[in-house]
Amino acid sequence: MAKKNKKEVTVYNLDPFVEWAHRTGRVFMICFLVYAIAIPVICCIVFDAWPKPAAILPGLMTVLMMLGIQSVLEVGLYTPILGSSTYLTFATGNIMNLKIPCVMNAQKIAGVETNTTAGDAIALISTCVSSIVTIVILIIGMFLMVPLRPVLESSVAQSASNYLLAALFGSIAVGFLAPQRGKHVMKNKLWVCILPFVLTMVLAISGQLKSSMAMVMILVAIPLCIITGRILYKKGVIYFADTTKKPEEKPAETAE
Amino acid sequence: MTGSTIAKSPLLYVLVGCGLLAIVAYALISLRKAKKCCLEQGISEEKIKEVITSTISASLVPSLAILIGFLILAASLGSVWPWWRLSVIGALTYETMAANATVQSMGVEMSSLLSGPAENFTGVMLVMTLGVVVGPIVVTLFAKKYSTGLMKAKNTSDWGNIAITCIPMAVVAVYIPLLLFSSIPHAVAFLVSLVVTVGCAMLSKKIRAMGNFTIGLSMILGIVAAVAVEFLLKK
Repeated sequence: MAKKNKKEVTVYNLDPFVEWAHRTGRVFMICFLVYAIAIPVICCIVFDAWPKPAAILPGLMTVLMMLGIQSVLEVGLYTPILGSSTYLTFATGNIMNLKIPCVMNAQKIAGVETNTTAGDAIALISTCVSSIVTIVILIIGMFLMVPLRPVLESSVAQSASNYLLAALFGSIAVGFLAPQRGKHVMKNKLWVCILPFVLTMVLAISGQLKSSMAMVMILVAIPLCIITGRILYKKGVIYFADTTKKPEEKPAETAE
Repeated sequence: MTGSTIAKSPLLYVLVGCGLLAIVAYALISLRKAKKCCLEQGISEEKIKEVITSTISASLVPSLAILIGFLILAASLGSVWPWWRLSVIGALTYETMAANATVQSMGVEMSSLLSGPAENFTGVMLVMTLGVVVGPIVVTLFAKKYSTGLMKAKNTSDWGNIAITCIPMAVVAVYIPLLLFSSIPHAVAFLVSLVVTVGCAMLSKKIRAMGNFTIGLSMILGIVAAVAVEFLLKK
């Protein structure tokens, strides 16, 4: 009884791989940033073609204002999914239209969860492969630019690229709707989506929400999901189950 | 000297080539290390191969869309600079916006960047580069603390685990209705892709290799169906 008020402290040590991935990722990111900025600077020096600061500053400020906040939000939103693959993802770009769907799909295939060592490793594999594929395709495109141009610039190809994200999410949605695999699974987790799903649906049908505003809507959806999750967890609707044990027992309401 | 002199210069080819080689080298080292970690974590070699094949299949179609963007940008910026920009950091929407904002502030046309003074071209290069530094800087400074903090929260309490799971769920909860209800062809692309994925998943129980191409195949068929519906609606 003497130590009744003593708090339990759970010590969690990071896996050496996660440590390595973050350490090298940061070094890579610093080198990448310096090199990316060096390319135009070297061109300006070698060709003695410095633009007038007054001419480019308004354009730069516009871009920074439009993308600065968005970039911060993207880091906040996507890092929980990407884990230590965040560095390579942000260096190679095409985040929402390529990297995030690939990582989500890879984690589903491997049956691993985000923010775990295995989830991080799978995310990194997926990001590396996806980045290399894009680089290779663009190299091929460089060399085959002349014959490819009529095909890729046709109206059919242009219109096809509009439906890319819809087709990508159609495939990924299956993984989210299907029963979870793995030992320690979260039961009834789809219920946390119900409020943002309905809200987005209503706004989309009424024409008040466009695809370009997805980021803003996600910012609204995250707290909604977390609040719903908290209530449902307290009520015992959402719980964790060990799928290796049978029969599965649903816990009573979480006492906290 | 015109913008074209820089855009087609061997120097730019070398700088971009070296940058891309460095990125590929880092990706290959990370890939090897991550694969080793997966094996240690009990993920089978077969499963890793499945992840790699599926990611290649999932990346092909979006990469072709990026290639379309490359051709659009190449018309006004030459081929080497868009090759670099779309291989790293950028996306078509951002690159076009950044280039447009710069040419507007310089009072010139996008179409004149290659034939105009070299200063205009380097101006666009600088703005396109400096305009996206915020994301990588934030990642470098905070991603480790943020990501490992989430990892600790997830592994030390059930509630932390639920809260973190809510983030990817929120992304899906927004994108699915947004894409499904934005237009009929978008809904067709989504639904056809979903049905094909389910079909492939069932088929892959008999033909195992099928599972590796599920996402690529479902995307192609979804997009083809959407384009066909768009064509029919226009008629």
